[in-house]
Parts: sequence; structure tokens; C-alpha cells
Amino acid sequence: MMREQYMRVLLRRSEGALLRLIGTVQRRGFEVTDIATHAQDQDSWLVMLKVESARELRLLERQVEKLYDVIELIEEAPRFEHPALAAYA
Amino acid sequence: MSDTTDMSKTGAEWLIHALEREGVDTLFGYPGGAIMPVYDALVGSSLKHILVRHEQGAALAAVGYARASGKVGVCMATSGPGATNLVTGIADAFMDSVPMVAITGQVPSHLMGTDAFQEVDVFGITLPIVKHSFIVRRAEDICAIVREAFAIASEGRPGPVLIDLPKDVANARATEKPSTREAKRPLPPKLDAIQKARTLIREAKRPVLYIGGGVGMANAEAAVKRLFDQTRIPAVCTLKGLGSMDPNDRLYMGMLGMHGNPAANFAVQEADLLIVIGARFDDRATGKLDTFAPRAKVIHLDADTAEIDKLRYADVALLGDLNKSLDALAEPTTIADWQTRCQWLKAQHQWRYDAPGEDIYAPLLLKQLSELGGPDMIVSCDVGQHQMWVAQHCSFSHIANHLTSGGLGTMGFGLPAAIGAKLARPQATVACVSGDGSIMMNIQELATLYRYGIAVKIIVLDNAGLGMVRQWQELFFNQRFSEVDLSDNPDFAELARAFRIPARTIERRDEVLPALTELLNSEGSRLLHVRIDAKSNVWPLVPPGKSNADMIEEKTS
Repeated sequence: MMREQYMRVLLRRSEGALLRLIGTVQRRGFEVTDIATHAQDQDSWLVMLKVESARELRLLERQVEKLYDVIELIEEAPRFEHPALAAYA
Repeated sequence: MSDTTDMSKTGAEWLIHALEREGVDTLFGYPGGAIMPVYDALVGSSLKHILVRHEQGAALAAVGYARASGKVGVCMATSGPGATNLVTGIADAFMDSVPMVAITGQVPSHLMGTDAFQEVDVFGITLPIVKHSFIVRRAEDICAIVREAFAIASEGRPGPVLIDLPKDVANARATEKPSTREAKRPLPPKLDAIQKARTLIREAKRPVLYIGGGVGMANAEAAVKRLFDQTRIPAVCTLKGLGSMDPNDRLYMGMLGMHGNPAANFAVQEADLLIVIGARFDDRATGKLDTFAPRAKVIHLDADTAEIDKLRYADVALLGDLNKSLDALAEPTTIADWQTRCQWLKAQHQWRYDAPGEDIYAPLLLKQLSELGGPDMIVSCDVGQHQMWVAQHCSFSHIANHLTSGGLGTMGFGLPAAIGAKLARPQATVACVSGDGSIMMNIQELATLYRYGIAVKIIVLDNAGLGMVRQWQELFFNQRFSEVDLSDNPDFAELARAFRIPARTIERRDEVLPALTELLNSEGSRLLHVRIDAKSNVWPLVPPGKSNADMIEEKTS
């Protein structure tokens, strides 16, 4: 079942960082339906994404977190709701 | 400081300096316009540059070098076509998590984005197949970027890193901006996760160790063997985990998956607990995913959080230091019935080598090659039927001795990877097992063998066609054979001799042992061209989209 989900990413302002983030989102099976970026300061962007997919967002989040340009994922809901990963939250 | 002493090196010179400081001894590449400053700086350096004959050969040789040695492999090429020719090798490194740094020349900064001669956006092209990448914009950043690239390539789950270097940056003089970046060490596993895993192991009636290539990357082969010895939990390996287990151990079930050993697949299907160690539930290993090990709980050990739950729910995830996690899992088990069952399965599914007929039987030839070469021989193979026969019938003492393109399935991998492996471990015997399709994809690297006197023992299993595709057309496309005939192949022995590599052709069974002995015992590179039956198939087999429980065996008439 397709679902709309939201993600907020604090991104380093380095060359290719935006492309890398959006590419990862699409390649992992999520459609970007809305996107806004805001330069926080000289070094970082805040990227707000609305994505649509039948896949679970947490699987995408773990791929996004691996990107070296990603400073952090900004979460509203508690992270790592998965019991096996709770220890790493 | 005055400018004259301060600006002592160009960007290209700093690059070479930084590579030397990383401990790089060998790199693989091919020069061209945009990377000429780097090749100029290479003159007089301590680096041994191997001039390949196609950039794909450079990238795949770097992969072979890295996989055989555990060190970071380095390749370089010029901009445009040089860079795009590296792409397949970079993708191969990405899919098989191989630490690699690829360096590409780029057109000068002011021409970037103008469709200049030999300009291509290799940074953009490779975004989905690199762990990370850089465009060097200032010469003073080069040393720090190289340090960062090597750290990223090797830490955590390894992978390829691209450094794109515009020509003007390579020519600019700069001071060094040193970097102290260290590769991140893996964190120790969490205690409560360990406790949960131990409980699952204690309670399991039918546990199986499912061992993948991550074990080699984490230098955890000894720890896996310890866990296996202490628990005596039956074990299976993925294609890339082969070499981590003693093939003769009565509780080692062999490779699982599409062309695995039925004993391994059936044990996994019956398991009530899978302890997944550096493996990722690849479709070639699992068959139809929702029927895979249907009653098993999962303990998943991996360096990469993104692998947890990606394809299969994990009841317990053990991230971080694989060695520490494995050592913490040695829990006494009482699984005598299950061990008996697994031994029975293994006994029921021994490979047979008594094929009828006079044709050379490739599985037996590969078994004999493996026995003659010994378990410390490195075997690099290409992709197709022979690749699966190598996995089934050769034995390896370490994961690093079996070089196979597992994730990407790159035809043309075998010869350049063997070159890289031999340069990384000159004392080892290195064999390259290829097919008549695959060998032609990087045949030009025979010239590299000759040029540097690199001793690789090449076996070309020639079934005059694309055997694996032909097999699928026979079995799954109603025998409608489409574009798989290669019966007009060149004479491979003549071809090798044209590259000044001694060669011979065999086609009868009684020629096999003398030819293999000659191949392994003679000095230098040799090519053995082996004609085999064009209709041979790889058995057994899980049909695509089917469950591993539905493995089919060869019909004997």
C-alpha cells in the first residue's frame, strides 16, 4: 500500500550532497513528491522531503544515514522503534 | 614562510605524495590528457604503476588486489572515456563491498560544464555506485581528501571512493593542509542484544550459521571458526563466504542458494534459527524470499545497519565489531538430533564426478585443479557456468583465495582480478578460471601479464557459447536459443601465443591431469584451453522465482 511519509535531513553543504540524497531516495524505491531545502548556515542545508512508497521509511532512513554528507536525520517520532535496534538508538 | 618553499608541490605531486603516505605500493591505470600531470608526478615515485590495456582492467585489477590482500585497491584513468571505462569496476567494488579508491583526471575547472573534449560528469555517473566521492576544487585539499577517501573506503562496510581531479587543480602549486582523519573503529556490540542472541541460540533446536563475505572483510574468519567449533552449529556459506569453513567438516553443509548444495538449502529450510554473519539475504542465496527458511528466527550480524530488516526481519541485530559479537555468542547447544540430521543431509548430497561419456567433465577438472593447486591457491573466476562450478568443486582455505564477482556478476572480472591478486600476493599460485564468453571481455590484459611477467594460470572452459544463458533458454524459455552461439570463437591457444603466453588445447579426459600438472608446475603464465560439451548444465538448480526447497537435480536418462 502506497503511503506518504516525511523525512527531514540535515545535510552538509558539500558538492553533490543534494543529488546524492535525492538519488538515494529514488533508487531505494521512494518517489519524491515534495522537497524544500534551506541553507541553515555556511556548512549545512536542512532538506525536507515528502516521499511516497509502499516500502517502510525506516529502511530508507538507514540508507540515508549512511551517506557521508548527512549530518543527521531529524526525527519527530522516536527513532529505532524496531526492538532489535533499540539498543543502538 | 616564503612562497617558494611553501608552494613546493603541485596538486598532482601532493596526490602521489598522499598515496605513498597511505602505504600504496601498486596502482593500476591508463594515462590520457586530463590526468597527464599525475602521470608526470608519478615518474620517480615509489609507486609501482601497472599499465593495463583497458581502464576496466585497471578497476577490476584493483578489486582483485584489494580482495586478495585486504588493502585498499587503487586505480586511475583520464577524464571522459577513461573514466567511463572504470565504471563497471567501480560498480563491481560497490556491489561486493571492496575497498577501492578510483582517481580520475578531469578537464580544467573553467571548462567543466562546457562539453569540453573528453569531459564527462563522472562524479554524477558514479553517484549510485560509490560509497562516497569528491571533486577536488583546490590543490591544498588533496592530501586531506586522499586521507578521507582511504578512511571511508576501508571503514565499516568497505566500498569504492572516487576522486575526480581537474587538470588545473593538478597543476596548481599549493601548501599541504594535513589531515588527521582515522578510519572509524567498529563499536563493541550491545550487551542486551548479545544476551537476546544467546537466549535464542540456547533455545534453538535447529540452528544454522549462514556465513557471508562480510566475515572476510571484518577479518573474522578465525572468530567464525571458533564459534563453529565451540557450538557445532551446522554451517552454510554464501558464494562470497566460501573459504571460511573447512569443506571436509561433517557439519559444514556447503554453499546455499540457486546453485548451492541441496544439503545446505534443505538445512536452511528446516532451520528454526539463522545466525546470519556478514551476509545480506541476496536473491541468489535465498530463492523466493517469502519461502526462505520459513520457520527460522534471525540473528543478523552486520557492519551495515541498512542491511538489518532490508529483506528479512531480524529478531536480534548485532551491529559493530563482528569479532567481538562472534566471540560473545559461544553458547553451549544441545542439538544432537539436528547435527545427525544435517550429517545425513550432507551424506545424501555429495557431489558426484562419475559423469558418463568421453568429454572433459568440467566439475571434475576443477576439483582436480583445486587438489593439485592446494587450498592456498587463489582462484579468480569469471561469470557464468564455470563460476558456479568453481564455487561447487574448488576448495579454499580463506575467503580471500576465492575471487568471484558475486554482486555485480561482471563478465571479464577473472583475468584482471587475477593480475591484481598476484601482485598483492606474489608468493601465491594464482589461477584464473574463465569461459569462452568471459575471457573475451578483457582478453587484452594478456598483454599486461606478458609485460610485467605476472604468473597467472589461465583455464578457459570453452563450450562454444554463453553456457549459462543457453542453460536458462533450454530450461525456462522452451529451448528457444537466442544469441548464445559462440562456435566461431578464435583459437584461444593461438590467441594466447600471439600475446606471447604459452598455451595448449585439450579435449579428452585423459589429457586433463597431465595438462593441469604442466599448467601449475611450469614457470610464468600459461593458458589451458579446454573444450567441453556445449550442452553441459550447472546442477542442481533453484529455478528463478522458486523456493530453495524446490531445487531440481539433473535428470538422468
